[in-house]
Amino acid sequence: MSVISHTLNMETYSEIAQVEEFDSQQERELILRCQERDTAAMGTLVVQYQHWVYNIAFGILGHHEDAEDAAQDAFLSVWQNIDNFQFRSRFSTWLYRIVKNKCLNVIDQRKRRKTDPMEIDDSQPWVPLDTVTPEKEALRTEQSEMLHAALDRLKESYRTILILRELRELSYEEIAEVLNCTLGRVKSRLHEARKALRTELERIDW
Amino acid sequence: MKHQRIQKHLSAYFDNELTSVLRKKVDEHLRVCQECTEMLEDFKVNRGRIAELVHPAPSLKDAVLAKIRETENAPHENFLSTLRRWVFRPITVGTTAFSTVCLVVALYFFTNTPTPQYDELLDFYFEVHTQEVANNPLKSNVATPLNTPATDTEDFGEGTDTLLDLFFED
Repeated sequence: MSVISHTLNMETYSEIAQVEEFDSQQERELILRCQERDTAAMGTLVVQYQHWVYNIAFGILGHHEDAEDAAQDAFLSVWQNIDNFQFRSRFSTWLYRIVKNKCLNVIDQRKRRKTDPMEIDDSQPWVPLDTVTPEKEALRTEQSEMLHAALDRLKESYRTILILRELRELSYEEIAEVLNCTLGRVKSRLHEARKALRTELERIDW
Repeated sequence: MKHQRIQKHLSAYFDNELTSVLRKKVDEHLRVCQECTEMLEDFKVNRGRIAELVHPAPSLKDAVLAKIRETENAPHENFLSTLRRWVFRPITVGTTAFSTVCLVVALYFFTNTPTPQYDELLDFYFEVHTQEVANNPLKSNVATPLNTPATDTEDFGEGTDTLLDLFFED
């Protein structure tokens, strides 16, 4: 792992620690304030969750700008629908479900962009979505690129469940809530996803 | 338990989500099965690789709050766009068309159904009834003068029935 990515990861871990320290009572108060249309409270919620929201979106989409857009849209959706949150589930699972849906929207838009002839700009050479600029290239290790390439080849449902479990370390119950499926489905899908990723990584001889 | 069935539980075993009985069986199987042991090891390695994918997130606060302000400051435009989105949904268009057709059909039948002239018919009925009572004192409790001339009650009765039938048909 390069020095840059190591440094970044250290920053990331400090942010994770910050998120974990977030008290559930504080969170409840912030949500209640958001329901009273307090934008300052919303800003605090964004700061607390932006790390995981962005990383889940990036894990699913594999593209920084798309992930940032999806994360912003997810937070905007939270603000617009915060009145519907009744504290029956954890706020984080509710939020991650919104993030997942936003990512699915982005994937649908990509598919439409690729199939709609009106949307194809022939004046520019086609650039794959996963291509990164030289500046961003420096931030990526070879290993993470290979892993992203392998993840990109998986079905979207496999990629999502792997990100939620391996990256965010959600429990099976939380994953079932985010994906709106049964525990049995989570178990079987996660197993299939892990097997598929293993096969993909073997295929690229990693 | 066969190899394939055990392998299906490997992922849950890895996440410590198995019952103690099933976990024990997987443990026993892993002691003798090289393929499942390798798969479990790969699961472990890949978890570590994915965990390293975390990137420092860009600060989203300002952008999100700007978007919120944008939507809050343009309620009219937002309302119109929401309304447009709802109005042009297939279900809304379909429901509106169906309701309109139902309304038009209902109005057509309502306006073309002849309403019976109850007042006239009732007046006529009471007149006939009064005559009948006058001519047939036995059919009513009303006292009739003794000098009332007798009439052909049967003929009048049939006629009354016919008229009453006509009234009820209407």
